[in-house]
Amino acid sequence: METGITKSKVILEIKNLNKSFGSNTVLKNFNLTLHEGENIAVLGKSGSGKSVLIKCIIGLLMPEKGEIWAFGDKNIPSLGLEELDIIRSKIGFLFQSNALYDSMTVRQNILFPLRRHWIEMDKDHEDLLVHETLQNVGLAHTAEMMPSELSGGMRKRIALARTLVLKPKIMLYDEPTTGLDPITSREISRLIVELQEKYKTSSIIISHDLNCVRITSDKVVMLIDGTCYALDTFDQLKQTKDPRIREFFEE
Amino acid sequence: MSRSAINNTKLGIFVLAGLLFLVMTLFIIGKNRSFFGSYYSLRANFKNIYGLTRGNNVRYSGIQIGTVNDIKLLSDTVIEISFTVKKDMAKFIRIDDMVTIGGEGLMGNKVLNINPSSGKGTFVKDGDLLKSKATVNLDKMIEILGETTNDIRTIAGELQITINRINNSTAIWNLLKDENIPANIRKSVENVVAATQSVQISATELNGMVASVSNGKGNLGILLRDSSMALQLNKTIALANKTVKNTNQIADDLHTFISSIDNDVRNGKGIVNGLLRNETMTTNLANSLANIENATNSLNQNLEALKHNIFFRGYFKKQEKAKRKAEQAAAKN
Amino acid sequence: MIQLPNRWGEIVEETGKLSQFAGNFFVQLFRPRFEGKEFLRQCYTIGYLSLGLVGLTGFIMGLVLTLQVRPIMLQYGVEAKIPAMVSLSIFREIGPVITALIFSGKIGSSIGAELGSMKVTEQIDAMEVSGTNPYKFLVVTRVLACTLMLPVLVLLADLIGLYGSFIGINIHGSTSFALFFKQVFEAMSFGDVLPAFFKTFVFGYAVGIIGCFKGFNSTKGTEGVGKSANSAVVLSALAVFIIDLIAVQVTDLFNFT
Repeated sequence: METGITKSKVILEIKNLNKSFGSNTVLKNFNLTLHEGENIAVLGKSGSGKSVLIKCIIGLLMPEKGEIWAFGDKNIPSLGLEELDIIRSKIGFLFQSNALYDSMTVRQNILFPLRRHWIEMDKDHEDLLVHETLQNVGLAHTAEMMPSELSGGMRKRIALARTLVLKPKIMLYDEPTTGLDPITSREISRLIVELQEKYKTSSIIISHDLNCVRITSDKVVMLIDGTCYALDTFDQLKQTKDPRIREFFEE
Repeated sequence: MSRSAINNTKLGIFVLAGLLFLVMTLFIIGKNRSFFGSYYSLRANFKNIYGLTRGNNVRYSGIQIGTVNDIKLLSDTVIEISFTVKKDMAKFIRIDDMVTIGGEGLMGNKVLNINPSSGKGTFVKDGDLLKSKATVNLDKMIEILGETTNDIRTIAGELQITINRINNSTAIWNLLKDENIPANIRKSVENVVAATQSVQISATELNGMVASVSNGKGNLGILLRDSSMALQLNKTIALANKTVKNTNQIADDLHTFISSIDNDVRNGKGIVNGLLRNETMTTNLANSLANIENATNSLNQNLEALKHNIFFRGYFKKQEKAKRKAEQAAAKN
Repeated sequence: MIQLPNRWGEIVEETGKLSQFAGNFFVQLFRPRFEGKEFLRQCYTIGYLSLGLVGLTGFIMGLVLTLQVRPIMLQYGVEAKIPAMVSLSIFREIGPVITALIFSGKIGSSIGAELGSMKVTEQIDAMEVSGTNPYKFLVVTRVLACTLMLPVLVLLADLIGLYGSFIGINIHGSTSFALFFKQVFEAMSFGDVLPAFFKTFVFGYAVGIIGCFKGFNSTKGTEGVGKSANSAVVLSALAVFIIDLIAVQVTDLFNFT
């Protein structure tokens, strides 16, 4: 395991993040630092604000307080739409429900992120890109199919392919194995690792699937009561005596 | 891609079909409402326009040639109507043609009629003011007709009394003494003639109305075509015509009668001589007067029925029933 | 279940949100990057694919109206005025309103459900993350398509309704097409066609914007999608009537004939 905190540079830094919905405080002074090439899993109970965290990072939610520094010099909550869009193209987001566009073919889904007005591409180039991206997830034959014709695992792969089409530097996974059977879950987890290496991404993985967390992450953050309760490797955390952490690891 | 092309074609046809229908609708309406093509704008002044409104049709001898454009109140008694007529129709309209307001039947839309005059006036130019004639509506006409028949009856009654007095032998002597009588008679005759004229006008107008009703013009026209209302109107008009005829005859008879008396008096033959000579004429006169009395009576009855029961068919039936009942009652007694 | 806000405050808040949402349409409409392809696709689904339903309704509308009106007109002896009366009712009121109601039932609910499920399955979020403004891509295209397609649908429904009326007259009596046609258009003025035509744009806009609003604000879960589809129909049908009322008053006010 190559942590190398001193060597690689910080790619994402979250400082004192606060977010609440009405009277319900979800994140309270949350801090996290993600280095280049690092894969951090965020473990927490349902409703503990895991999804809120990464939605704040991608700019879908606006935190009340705190800073999110991406690529060293961009504080996401303070960005205008134009700049935010450029940042977003470098951050991939895999939605929990895949968020494939039902009315479009797989090909159109994959190419959708390219609709950004500052990306121009001819048709041959597009074909090549779609083929290559689909091949990476092992579904090259599905290009002209509709999402409704695909199984849950395949949809997850297509969604993954779509997030990777712009070759992002940071990947955010929102419960990537939820709703899948254990075998498919493991396949997806392995695919994530494979793609992490191939595309050289840093990633934050939200999950409560321990197998997935174990396979995909270098470090694990325990998100309890809206704060970063613990940050360590998976094996380290598994052996801890802290009852609040232990309850996650008990079968 | 090919699928999308078909979609676009269908979409295009769909949108074009809708737009085509819209354009067609607007164009046809525009054509009907004189919005397109070249038009002349003409004017006419009225005292009462009887509910004529913007968009009503303008007809020249019954031909649709334009629409009413604007209605302005110039003063409390003058209303100016502006209307447009097709340019190619304008070459038939003369400056002295008469404009009247009519209706498409009794309850149909109002129509502006241009009635060609036989005159040789110049043809109209854009913006010209045409002559107009006030229209008498049905209610008013029936009212006038009623008044006139009443007048005729009164006069006829008076005449009869006079004749009776003439016929009475003792009265001849009085007559001889009274030099005013010929003058009185003359005046009566004049009255009769005047009354006849107004009856004639009303009768003609009613006739025209019935004709248009019979042709089924307008909403009520259809309703009335086969109904007893129309029959009643026809009957009324026939009676009015009969009355007019009778009164005309009487007036003529009286005229000759009086002039012959005058003649005899001037020739020194004396009134009595003249009266005696014209014995047959006096009988004729009496008969005619009796006729006129009868005719006016039933005319009045009909007018009453029209006035109060314009939509009721049973008026005469009821009357007949009442008559029969009275007869039966009389028979019992 | 119809989701009705149970307090005045909620109604006011909902109205405010809806107004903002509706106003945003005009802001976004004129911002660059017009989603032409998606707009045409929506026009096709919203317009062309609704033609069958709308046409059938229009036909029945014209036919039934004629058959219903006939006995009364006959009683007054004004049978000859049936084409005029039916065509005026179709053009002025029944065509636009019935078509808009059918439209709100078909399109309002489908937009509500579609956007609702997109919201629930995070497709709208995904779109935003993908650098495409979901309001422009989803709402502007749909609302614009509704606004422009409903008038076309209404016109065609009017036309088909007139044809239905023609058949209705020929069931009992007989009239030539030329005479029917002439009677129809003789009765009409611009004041009968144009205000009715213009209000259909507003109907279309209202149905589209309410469908989108309800979809965009759908709550989580399949129940939320159902609710947003349902309330989209209810609210847009209500809106059609309210707009119709206002349109009639405005037309009256300006005395447009």
